[in-house]
Amino acid sequence: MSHEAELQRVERMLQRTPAPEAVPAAAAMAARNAALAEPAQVIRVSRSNRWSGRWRVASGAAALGAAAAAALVLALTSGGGGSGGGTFATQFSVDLHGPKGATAEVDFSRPNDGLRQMRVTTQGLPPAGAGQYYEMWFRTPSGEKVSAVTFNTADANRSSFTAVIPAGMTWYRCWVTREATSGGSTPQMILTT
Amino acid sequence: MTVFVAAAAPRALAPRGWSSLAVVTPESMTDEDLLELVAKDRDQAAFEVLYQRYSRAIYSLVLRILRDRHRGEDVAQEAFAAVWRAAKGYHRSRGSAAGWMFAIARNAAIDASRAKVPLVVGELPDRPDPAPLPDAQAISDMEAFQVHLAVDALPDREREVIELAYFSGLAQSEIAEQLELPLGTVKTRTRSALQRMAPMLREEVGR
Repeated sequence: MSHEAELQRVERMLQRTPAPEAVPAAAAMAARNAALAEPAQVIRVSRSNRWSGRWRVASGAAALGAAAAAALVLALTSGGGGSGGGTFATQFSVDLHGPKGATAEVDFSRPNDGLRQMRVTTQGLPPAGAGQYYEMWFRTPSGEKVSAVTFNTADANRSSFTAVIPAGMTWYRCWVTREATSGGSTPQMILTT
Repeated sequence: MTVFVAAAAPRALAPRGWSSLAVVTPESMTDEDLLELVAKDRDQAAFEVLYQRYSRAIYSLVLRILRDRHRGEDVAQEAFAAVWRAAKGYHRSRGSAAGWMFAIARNAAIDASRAKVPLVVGELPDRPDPAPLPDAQAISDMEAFQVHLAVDALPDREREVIELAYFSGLAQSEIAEQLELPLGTVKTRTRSALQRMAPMLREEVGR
């Protein structure tokens, strides 16, 4: 086949090919992470790694802030209790990083009854300070900022808590800010993907 | 002389048999080499590159079959999970990595579409179904998959003009205007892209 004929063949192929579909960012991340999480790991959360009194839901204005995320349901446990009978089947995970080596690993379970469990494990994240608390956010593909959960730490050791989000919620970015209960000051970015 | 390699240096991957002197980044490796790394070492960086190369083509293929965006996302996700899980089942002697991945994605989509359609017992249609026969549809799916892969492999500036010309239906003068480029540059980039795609589209994906 001549060179020109070859180029015409490619052109004809292009002309009869429909436009490719853009992969939504949230779907892309979910697909990658779901693949890398296969086969699903079943992680048993030891009693000592659960709340053990080290976590507490930020009170007052912070809790109101969380309530604003109407679609999200907080399912925190305390005193060593835990949802899901102590097991957590991870479908995909996201790592968040911050200054001074602070990290958080967010594991998402497979959907169940329209909800997806989310386990957040932080390391090196000190208490937010007087009158402050931490808040986790998601950015949806439409650009909306959704508050997922507010929390605080008792110390910078490794700690873990769980919450649930709607299984169908799509998002492409996750981050944690430090907020003031007075709501007066600008939130500070603490951890981000 | 002792040579120290910084631990923080970017990771280089070398498939078995390659010289250790050559630094091979996953991006420069063939699909077949990447699949082998995934199969043998469960290499996430290799999988990541495969994902980058194939995500749009696989997503488009699945959507074309299912015609349902939400289910398409789930099935594309399942197809990539299957690639990760089943990479050991790939043997290069049986064909290209692209053909293997095409088959996985297409099967996942067809399985999903069958699961969706309820069994209906009723009258047979009195007119022939205008949809292509299954074999013809498979060939057309394969060709579109192959074209999307070839387009995605183009350098950005060439891919841009090809997509505007063939997928957005713009004339070359309109592309020149939109990209603020001389018309001659648009023509040169288009021709260069077609030349680059020709060898990629010479072989059948499922050879």
